[in-house]
Amino acid sequence: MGLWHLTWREIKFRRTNFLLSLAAATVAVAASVAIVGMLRAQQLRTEHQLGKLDDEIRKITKNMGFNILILPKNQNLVDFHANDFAEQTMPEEYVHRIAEAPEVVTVAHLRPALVRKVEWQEQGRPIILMGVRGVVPLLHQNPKKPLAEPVPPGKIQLGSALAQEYDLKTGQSMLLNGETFEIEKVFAERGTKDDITAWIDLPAAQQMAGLPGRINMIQALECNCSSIDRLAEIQAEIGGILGNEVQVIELASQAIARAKARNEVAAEAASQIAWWRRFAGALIPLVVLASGIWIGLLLLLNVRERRNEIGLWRALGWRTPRILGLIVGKALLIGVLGALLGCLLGTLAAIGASRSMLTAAEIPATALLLPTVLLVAVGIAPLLTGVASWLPAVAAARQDPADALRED
Amino acid sequence: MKLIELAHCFKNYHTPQREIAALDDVSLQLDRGDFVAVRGPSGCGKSTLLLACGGMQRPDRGTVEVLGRPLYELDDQARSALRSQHIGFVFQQFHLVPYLTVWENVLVAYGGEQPRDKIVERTHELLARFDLTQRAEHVPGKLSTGERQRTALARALINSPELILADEPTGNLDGQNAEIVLQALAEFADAGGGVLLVTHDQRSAGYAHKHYEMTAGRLMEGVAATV
Repeated sequence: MGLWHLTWREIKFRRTNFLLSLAAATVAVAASVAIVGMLRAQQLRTEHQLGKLDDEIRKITKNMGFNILILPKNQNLVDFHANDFAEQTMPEEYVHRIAEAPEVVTVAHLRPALVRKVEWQEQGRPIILMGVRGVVPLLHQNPKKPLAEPVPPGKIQLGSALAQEYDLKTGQSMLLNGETFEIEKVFAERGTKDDITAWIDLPAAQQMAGLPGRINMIQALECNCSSIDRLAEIQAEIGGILGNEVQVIELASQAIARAKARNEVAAEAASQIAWWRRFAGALIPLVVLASGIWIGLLLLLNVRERRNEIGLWRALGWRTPRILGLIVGKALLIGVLGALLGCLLGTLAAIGASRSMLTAAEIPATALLLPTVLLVAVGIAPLLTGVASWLPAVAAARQDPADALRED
Repeated sequence: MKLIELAHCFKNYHTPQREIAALDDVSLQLDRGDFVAVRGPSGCGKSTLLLACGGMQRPDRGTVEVLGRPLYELDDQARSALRSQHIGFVFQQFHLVPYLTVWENVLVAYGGEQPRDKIVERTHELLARFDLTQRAEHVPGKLSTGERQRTALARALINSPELILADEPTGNLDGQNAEIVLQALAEFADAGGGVLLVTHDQRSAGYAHKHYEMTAGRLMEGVAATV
């Protein structure tokens, strides 16, 4: 007759002891799985919140375009804001020095430009002329989709107000201060100075302005860095490359505010999750230890109750390993069943407790089913109950059969 | 080769108050076909003698040989194997496993390597012999005391042992059931087995071939009491 058959019959006979042991194992596993599940829910909700904020930042940034300006050091900022462009210039090669520097991580999408307020001699009106070229790729960053396309030589792009005023359309040719350009694009109304801006190729603008090889700003897009004071970081980074030859200013603050909010949310969430991890790290071993002791005591009680029976097994010629197997086998069964029940109940508890978080973050409940955790629980619970049963099993194996069989 | 040969065995139990001599220079031989009854008052050392012969109570001094093998010089594994294959036990308290049926209580003691159908056949035979066939699926709690002891007797015989050690097997039984048990033990001895019976029961006189009296651990050859 096999040990499992005997174990099963004994369990049916002494249900209370078995059920109490099973309850202890189940509670230990369920508590552990539930805690890990709730932590997972919190982490997923945080990721969801951060994802939403990241999306918002991306949308805002995308709408806003470049939000960092690198200007010549000697440019007076009051004049810059009054005129909407920098009077002072700097060498175009600065942009290449930044692009080639391996330490650049705080900015992306560098675009050198020369901006001048010029008289459109053919029409007799002032316009803003902006010489641009394509975005200079940062050599040490992953390639990104350019934030702005270059204006090909001989082409011109016009703001809406200019095109509307002179009835200019895409594909037409136009004269600008003696140079002929083909209109490549007419932008929709933006409600900014862009509406009276004409964009041409940078070398053409430099030649027209008599400033070959010079630019008066480098446009850039700040990356979504984790720092709270990002402008200072950018300034330090660019300063490290170009020394004190330039100054860095930030345009608009909406994305920055969002990014700061995002970073604060991330920091707060990380702190909360770390607290919960510490809490779980203290609670789970306590629950497991308490359950292990409880199971050990119940098995010891069981062994005492089976004193005569174990004496009989001895009299029948059972050897020590078989008697150990009888006790440890039952403990392993308690561990396996406790693990399965505990995983089920723990997962349900985690889903129940995290329902509002999951709903808010549109996370399916199945996301809390962590195969690794479940596998670890199913693997470790029988191991722990096996360890808990060891002392009772040894006590059973060492029991003097003569004493047991003499008892009435 | 003797089934049992005890030579100058001593066993003392130590209590805070005094020392109790359970075996005091006990020597005993038991051959095939012998039915030996040992009588004596409670606490005289009868059960200790029986357990010593069964390899479950090591004497302080002296030697115990079963089937020519020095029992307490064997390791646990060899002693367990010898017990399982050659010795059957019957106890006053039956020591049936409460959660197993009559059938299972008999079968669980099987320690050999015969094919399952042979064991099943043997179990059927024993249950029929002790009038337990109708009770095969009952647990001990549902049996009368006589039925319990008959189940214990069937269990002792399942391995076809050469020796039965019986500790007060009739102590809890009525006359009819006591006769059944003693008759079965006598038949076992007649068939060439050896029986060592420790008892208070005067009825054993009619069945045992040799009688001993035991007092304070000392074994003395006695005479059959009148039934």
